[in-house]
Amino acid sequence: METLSLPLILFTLLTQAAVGVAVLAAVRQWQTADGPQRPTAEWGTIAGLLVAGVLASFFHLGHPELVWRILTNVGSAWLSREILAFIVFGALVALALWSALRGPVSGWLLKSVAVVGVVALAMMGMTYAPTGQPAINNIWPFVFFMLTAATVGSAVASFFTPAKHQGLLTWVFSTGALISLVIYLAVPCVWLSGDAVVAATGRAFLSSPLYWLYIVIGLVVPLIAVARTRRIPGWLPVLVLFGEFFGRAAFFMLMLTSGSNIGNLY
Amino acid sequence: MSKRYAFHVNMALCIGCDTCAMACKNQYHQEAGIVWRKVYPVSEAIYPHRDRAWMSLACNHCDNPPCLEGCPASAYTKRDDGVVVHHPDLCIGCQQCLHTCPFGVPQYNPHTKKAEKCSLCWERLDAGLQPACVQGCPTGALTLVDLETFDDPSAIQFPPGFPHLPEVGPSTRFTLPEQPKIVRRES
Repeated sequence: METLSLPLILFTLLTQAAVGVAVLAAVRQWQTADGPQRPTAEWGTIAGLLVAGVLASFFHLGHPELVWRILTNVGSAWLSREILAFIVFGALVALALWSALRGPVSGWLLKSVAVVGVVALAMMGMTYAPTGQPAINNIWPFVFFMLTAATVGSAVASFFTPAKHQGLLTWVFSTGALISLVIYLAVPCVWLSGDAVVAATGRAFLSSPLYWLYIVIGLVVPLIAVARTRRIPGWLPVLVLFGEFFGRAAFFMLMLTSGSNIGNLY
Repeated sequence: MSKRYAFHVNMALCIGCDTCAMACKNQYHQEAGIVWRKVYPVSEAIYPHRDRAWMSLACNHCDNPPCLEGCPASAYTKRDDGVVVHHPDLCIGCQQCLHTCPFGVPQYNPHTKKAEKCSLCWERLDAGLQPACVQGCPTGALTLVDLETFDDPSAIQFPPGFPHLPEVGPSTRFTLPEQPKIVRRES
């Protein structure tokens, strides 16, 4: 059992939210030619989420004054690659914000931000798929992070889109939340049939209040709200963020390591 | 020929006295709660006898160390003799190695705010001495071997109760505990 790492929770949640909003900004322009009503505010929010997440991550480091060393092992460390990808993403977001202050953001820039954002999430998924944690030493972290980006991203993007133009966002949110609900209910059950460490991880999730708080607050209640109102209510993004917070806390705290079972049957 | 140092844990000789762990503590004076070597009891599901069996473990100085590969700050290096060394001056305290190591070896020191782990007493090795834990073991259960010349056919790499990760290649070798013998008197 790991300890609660608030900086890591905030870093992953806020950066994933930033990627989600950025990808949706690109998709909206490409798919519907229906850009946000306030592009400057939207890109400012994306930049703010990213900066807040990165600042939070500094509190996770024992020695933030040596943070530059985090890029010295890009050859083999996924964490180095993740940070490099987020640096590129941050630069593109800054360019998009600068561009939004002067007029419409160009299509190639939107697409670039979206692609680099997804690549950064893939790197993040690999970082949190370590050999020592067999339950997530696979593609699940990337899937979890993409789903968070879709749900939180679409919820936050609704702040910048008038209710009558929220069709795409509502569809992305409800589809993402529904897929999340199915996956998050199924995965711990599948883990129960894994080896000793993976099965113990599944039991830890299914018996954890954090996990069920995420299911209820982060997924079920928002899905019911969207189904009833057919749009994303203004209070929903806050509720979704709270729910995701519990889910991410469960992700970091409940994952068991192989080393925790030494001396017992695997 | 270059050497490739490794620990050999003879579980048939280990009595679970923790002297190896204490010798390590005595050598390096780690903070309270931080252990570089730990003696794990083997569960009865694996060794179902009245006698108990033990596994004395520290860093396994793997062939493909996940700590070294995953460390974003390049704070780990592997010497030619196989010893995986952590460099505290390069460590940024991100704790990534704590997650990547499948054997739970690196520990986070909240006082130095850096990770740390067994160094296989490389300074002692370079001075021609044995690691502190090996020197301290009273039964000879813990020894230092050179895998380039070690050819004990009874030694195995993945005993029951130890993560089976051939791709990581832990260097530690084990001799399994003996099965108890029943001696009957002829009537």
